[in-house]
Amino acid sequence: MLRPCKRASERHDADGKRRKEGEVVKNDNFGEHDYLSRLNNDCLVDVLKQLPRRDLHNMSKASRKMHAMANDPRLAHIKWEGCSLLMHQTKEGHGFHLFVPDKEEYLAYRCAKTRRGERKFMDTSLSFVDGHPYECHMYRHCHYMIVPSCIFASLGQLFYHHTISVLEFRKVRLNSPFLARLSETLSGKTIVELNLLDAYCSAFTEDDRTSLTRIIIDAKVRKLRVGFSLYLNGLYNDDFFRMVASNLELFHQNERTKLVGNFLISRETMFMLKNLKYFCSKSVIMDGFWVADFAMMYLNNIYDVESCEREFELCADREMTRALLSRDITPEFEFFAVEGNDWNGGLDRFLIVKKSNQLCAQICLNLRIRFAHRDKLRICSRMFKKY
Amino acid sequence: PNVKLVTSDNEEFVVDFRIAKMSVTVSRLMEAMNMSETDDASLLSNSIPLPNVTKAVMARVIEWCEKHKNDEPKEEKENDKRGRTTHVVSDWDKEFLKNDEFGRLCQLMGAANYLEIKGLFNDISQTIANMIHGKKSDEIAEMFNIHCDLTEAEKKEIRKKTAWCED
Repeated sequence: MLRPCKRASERHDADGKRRKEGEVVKNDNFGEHDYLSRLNNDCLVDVLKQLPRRDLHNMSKASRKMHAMANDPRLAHIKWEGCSLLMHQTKEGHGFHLFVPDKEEYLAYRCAKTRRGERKFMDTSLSFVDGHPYECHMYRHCHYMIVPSCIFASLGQLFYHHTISVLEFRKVRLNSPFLARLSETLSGKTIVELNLLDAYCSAFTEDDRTSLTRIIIDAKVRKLRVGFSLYLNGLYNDDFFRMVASNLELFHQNERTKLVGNFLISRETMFMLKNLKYFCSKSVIMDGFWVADFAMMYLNNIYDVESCEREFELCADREMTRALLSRDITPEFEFFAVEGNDWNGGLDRFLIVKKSNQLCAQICLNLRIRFAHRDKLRICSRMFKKY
Repeated sequence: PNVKLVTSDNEEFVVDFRIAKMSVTVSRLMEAMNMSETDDASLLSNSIPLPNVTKAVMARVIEWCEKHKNDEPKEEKENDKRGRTTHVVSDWDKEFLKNDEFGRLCQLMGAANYLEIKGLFNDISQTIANMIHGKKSDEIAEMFNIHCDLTEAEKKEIRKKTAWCED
């Protein structure tokens, strides 16, 4: 480091000894002729800014000072530029590869965890967006991927070095470990947009809700796009939706979702259904086997006939058939169907009626479900066939 | 009009106003001392103290400035695609900087940084980068007399972390 030289008359050491003209005072551990290490940090970073990644790595092995300088956050864009990550799962476990442009493949991690089953792939590519912040896309080519812990370690590293404003996961299993690790990794970061697309959502638990809440609040996520099927249970209640609505600018449910989460029956599901306005309702997907149960559950929970009128447009994961809908009908209910009737525009229509109060659930094949009293539905009894 | 610059070793340099203005630091100091090109009295009566620059280094700085005083101001170049800064060192500058031993080059860089002479700073920075480019860590250490204070364990750890970038 270049230090201001004092005037000759002032050149005294702390112990009062005079020094010779031109003598260099060393109050550091650098060698006498190690001028590079004595350059001030800003100057050194400016030098290193002009070097490619490989030179930075070579510099980092020269000394502690050079290691610190080569790892300066201001040089991170050089260090990580153009890398892409490929995660894969083999018989032995998970693999995690980092690809460097124009170079052969380098193995960075090997995750020992073994999960039997299908072959899963995921690659991560980093690209510049407006110069500095990165958009981090995570794609997977086939099947739904269980994200191994190593990707979160890497994500932590990436967040340390970069400003990642958009984080996108595709085709992953949004299970509890995933949400918990994501919450931990993103804590304290600022993510403008978090996209969880084409993901498979398994059972949504209390822990998952806590994790998701943390992700939204701690990572200051402003936009959340989700493309997974809702797990329609009591945890999607008013509190959750209130939190979501107050913290996000955009909460968008991706319409391309095709998979289905399990559907749990709960009294609290009613709260969730009231809040479906926050979602694109067509992307709330229901397990076809649960449609009849859902209808019966709803009818069983209605005490006020006037307020029971409600209509939902949902998506079913399978074709709605008479056999499918009628198979779980309990003795308190009656089941009717109109099949292939022109009067109905070619669509089949089904009716589940509660015997005691004649409250009905009318279900169309496109899974439009209308709840009302039988009189309100103006059902033409001759059209419906009882099963 | 001329401006008087005084180095850390009390050497006085009288330089052309245009040359003095090439340094952002000197320009600011002149402004603070109400020294203007049209006011000869203020230029004569004041001198600019530069406590961070020695006589020998100042002479080199002035030599560089003399050569570049008529240069058009360069536009800021965008970083290249890989995020690195790019700077082309002219042949004259290469020759000019070649004459300095490395210690002096570093001092010159420090002075350019202090005086905020961007052109000179970029030239030296690029020259040093060129010296580093393509060298292995031990070659770098040898070339710049860097004493490697990393322990074996630390070296091993760094090698492990940067394995993906090794040859």
